Amino acid sequence: MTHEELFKEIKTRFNNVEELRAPEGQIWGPELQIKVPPQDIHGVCEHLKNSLTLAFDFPNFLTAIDWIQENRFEIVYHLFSTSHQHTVILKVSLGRDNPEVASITDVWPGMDWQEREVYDLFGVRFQGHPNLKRILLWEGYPGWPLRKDYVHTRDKYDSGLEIGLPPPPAETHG
Amino acid sequence: MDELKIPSHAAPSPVIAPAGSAVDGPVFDTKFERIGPNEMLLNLGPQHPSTHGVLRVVLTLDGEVVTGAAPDVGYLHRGVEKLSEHRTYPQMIVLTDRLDYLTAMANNWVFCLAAEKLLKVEIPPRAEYLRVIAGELNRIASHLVFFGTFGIDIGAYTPFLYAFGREREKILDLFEEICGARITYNYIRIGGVMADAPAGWIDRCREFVHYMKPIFKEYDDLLTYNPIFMDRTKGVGALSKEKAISYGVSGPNLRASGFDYDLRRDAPYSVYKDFTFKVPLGQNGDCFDRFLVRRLEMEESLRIVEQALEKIPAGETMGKVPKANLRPPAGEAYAQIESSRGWQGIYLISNGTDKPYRLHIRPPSFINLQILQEILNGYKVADMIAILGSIDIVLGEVDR
Repeated sequence: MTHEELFKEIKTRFNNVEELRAPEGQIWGPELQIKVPPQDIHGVCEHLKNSLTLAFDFPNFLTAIDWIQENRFEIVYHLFSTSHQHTVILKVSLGRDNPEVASITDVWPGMDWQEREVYDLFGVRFQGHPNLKRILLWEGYPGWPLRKDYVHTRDKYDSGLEIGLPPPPAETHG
Repeated sequence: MDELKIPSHAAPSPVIAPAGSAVDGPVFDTKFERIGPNEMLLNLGPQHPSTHGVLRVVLTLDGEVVTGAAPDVGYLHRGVEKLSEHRTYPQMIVLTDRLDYLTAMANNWVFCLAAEKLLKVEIPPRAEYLRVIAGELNRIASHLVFFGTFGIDIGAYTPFLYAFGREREKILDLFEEICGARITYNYIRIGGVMADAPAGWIDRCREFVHYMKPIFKEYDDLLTYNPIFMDRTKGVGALSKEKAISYGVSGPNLRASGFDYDLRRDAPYSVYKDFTFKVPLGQNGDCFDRFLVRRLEMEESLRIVEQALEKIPAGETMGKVPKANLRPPAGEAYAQIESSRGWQGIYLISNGTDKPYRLHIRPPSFINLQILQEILNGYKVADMIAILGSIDIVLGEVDR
């Protein structure tokens, strides 16, 4: 299936999706990229998996990007079809204040831990996730480290020189 | 007392646990009061030799039967993705060594592939061949560690001494000669490789291939066709093809479930088009198949190395890449390769500066490990060790 056919197939069911193309002066990979409105993502994913002509049965990976200057997060879904061997990238934009999007773990169980990872590092909440807890860091960790405005709290483990922190306070004993 | 639940997407387990033990509720909840009346909670790891690193698995048991498993990861989290935002591109290669530390060449390689996609740099053929030789030797070294440690998990100690202490050591010696390091290579660089092979290295590689070829017979006698080993692994921890695909399982684990797909053959990168090799497949997706696929893959990797040593052209080993101040143009690129654990991918976003804006690692071990909570239910604790060993994870890459 060519990119046009793939996109048309999705567009007939979901009118709000848009094809994304590399902006002027940027280099993007050859994969088809589709912008999906946040409210449609679960429906689109279900359709992508269950449609026989699309058959995206392999959840390759899920991640997020913090576009702080545009005040949005972008959730990236990278999907692959084992029967047709085609690839698609879905992108969902969320506002940076209180970002929430529907979980797709019921479509592909393989997205479970990856959604937890995005929650853990970006603070994006996935509605309907069966167990949305931090996965790499511990519960109670201050902040969401992969956000661009994250400020590292200095602790005894870092010298701080590489990120320009002031020298550590003198240690007090007793 | 609340009862324990298995996730809604969990399918029936192959061996049914006694009635009243496997019940519904989040299986991940590790609080003591969530255990069923006949159940016991067993904390495996994070310091436990058979978890292959710092993995913790919270098991609920009914007698000796596993009724729920909740892997707990993150003990080795170093924030590599965050660190990458403060490192220049060449500095970042050093950190990728520390992800999957048994296949560091593959990590170097995939990161460089992603950066090269943005830079649109041409790699000299000799560098491509050196990458393939190094990558495939590293795959053999990694599978040798699996071969040895999986034997230990089952209770066979001797194969480890052969695979880990004898053959892998020879590969590490070759690596030490070519790049100076035995584990963290930093050999594959953006645009090519660090340096050409030293004088006589190609011949020593040939000697190794010649030496290694008859060894597999020895391995098979030692472990593969050992009746006790086969009893312990055949029919244990079966993973169906459909389930493996829906979980995003890749690499030898996926091929063991019978899905015939290898990125080296079906989406070839580098110069893999130049080589002929077979892709070993399993049928049942059980522990034995996962083991056998890796054992056979070693032979195929050796074939690739042999062909690459035959065909390697002379010439440069570094493409035209700026020596300092490397700034890939703005944009995004995704590269993935068939590492020894599955599809290792790098998703790279550049904003035109000398540091990545965002770097995401597609971690094959992390994604493969998810199936653990799915396939453990109903097995005995001893089988659980075999199943965990057969998935072949490296915690450096699970936790990143």
